[in-house]
Amino acid sequence: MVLDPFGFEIIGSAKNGLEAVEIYESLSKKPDLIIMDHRMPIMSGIEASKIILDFDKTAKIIFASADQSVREHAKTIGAISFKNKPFDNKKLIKNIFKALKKNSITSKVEQ
Amino acid sequence: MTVKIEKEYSRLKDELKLKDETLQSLLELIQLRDYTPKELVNYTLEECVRLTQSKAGYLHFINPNQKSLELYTWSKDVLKICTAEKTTHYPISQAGVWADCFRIRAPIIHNDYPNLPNKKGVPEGHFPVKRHMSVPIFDGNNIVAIVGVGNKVNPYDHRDVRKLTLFAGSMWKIIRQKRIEKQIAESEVKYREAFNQTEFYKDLFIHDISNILQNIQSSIGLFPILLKSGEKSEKIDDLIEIINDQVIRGSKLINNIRKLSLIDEGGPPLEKIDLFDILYKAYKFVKKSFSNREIDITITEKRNDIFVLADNFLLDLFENLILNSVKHNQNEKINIEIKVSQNSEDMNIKIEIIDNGMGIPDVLKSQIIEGNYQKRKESKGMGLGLMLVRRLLKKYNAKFFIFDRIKDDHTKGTNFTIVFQQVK
Repeated sequence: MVLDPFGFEIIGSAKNGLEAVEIYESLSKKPDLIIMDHRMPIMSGIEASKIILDFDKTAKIIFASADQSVREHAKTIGAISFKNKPFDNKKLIKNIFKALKKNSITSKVEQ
Repeated sequence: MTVKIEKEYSRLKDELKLKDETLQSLLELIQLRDYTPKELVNYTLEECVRLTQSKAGYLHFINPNQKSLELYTWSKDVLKICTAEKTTHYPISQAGVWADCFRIRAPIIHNDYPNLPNKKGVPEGHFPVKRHMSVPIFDGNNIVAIVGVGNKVNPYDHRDVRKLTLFAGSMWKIIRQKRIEKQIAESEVKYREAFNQTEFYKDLFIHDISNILQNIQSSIGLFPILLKSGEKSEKIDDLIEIINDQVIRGSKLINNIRKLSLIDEGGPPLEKIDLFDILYKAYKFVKKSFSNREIDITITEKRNDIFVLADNFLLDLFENLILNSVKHNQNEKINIEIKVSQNSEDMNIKIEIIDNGMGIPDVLKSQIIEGNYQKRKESKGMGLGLMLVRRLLKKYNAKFFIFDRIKDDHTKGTNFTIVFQQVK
């Protein structure tokens, strides 16, 4: 819902890390970006991200978690950035555009 | 003259040998760090008997009130010759002259025990006492024990007193050190548990409240965008519902933390509670909470004679378990079966909550059963609700098992089984 107004399409959502891995692997068209939580049942975000990045080194992952203790770990395994909850929507959108190397953020958010 | 010198030489030689043995034995005593207190006392007592050339020995511990004592042990040879009934606990005021060392707070020697004017005599079956010596063991100003030996062939003298005092005192120092080490270890465990508990609440507050605030903040952030773009009012309504849900989530979190704190402090006393009464209340609560979902809950036919030992949090326990069965269930129709049965042998009461939900993998099952604070931090494996359930079951002394509804296929649902002891 947060991303809809900015023209992003959500092509999959998961309730836990394992589901995230399964969905990612099953998608024929991979997403441009993954927004990953950390504390999830069955498999954590860190574990899921490791598997996804092993499977696809080009995958782009932004962590959005309330557990700041894994910030460095997330970056070490290859996450692009770490957003510590609670954060402003605008900051997340800015990070997404930055990750996708688009520059339209300023105009879209300011509108 | 020559005979006299030889005798004196022999006596001095024996005495020197005994002194050497005493030193050796003392050295061994202080090296017995791995011995239990009981083993230390036994070793000390046997050595006191041997090195004072006695035939018997005993050790009594004095209770902290300094008014009564406990017979801890006799030396092993006494048990062969003494058939008197062993009284293990009695007031010091009733003890015989052997306890005079406690009364005068100093070692005492009775080299002519049978002719002591104020002795009380020995019980039937007790071996005859000819000589006796006892010393008090001090810890600060308190006497903590009495060690005694008896029936040396020659009279006891100050050298025997010295040996007994030295041995018994050294033994007590080791035992006391061991007790302090044990207390420190126990205190360390308690401290660690309290620390983990504090960390758990701190982590829970930061993590869960941050998530709630995030959801509220994201929703609020969307308002101006939706209003400007003239979006349908349904989306605005959705945002208001999200915010409302998050406020409810926050208040539930606070309630559960309050309940956990109360349980940690001991909570209300246990009482006899009608199990079916609570199960039906929990059933009604869940049906009301999820009125928008199709839920079929069946409960074993009601009985009025099934009671368990619990407190008023028992309702929270069942509510949390049934809520879990609903929350972790993606089926259009949620089936929950609550079975209550009684074992015909031990009369224990078994409650099974069986659902057709998404199930629990084995690794998570063990985390829930163990339920330690650290595991929750590592993943979101156990919610606060299950933490509450686990804590309550521990208090109720009930057993808790998690099985797959269909054996070896956790994806088909879960069977939470609780076993309560029968209440008469």
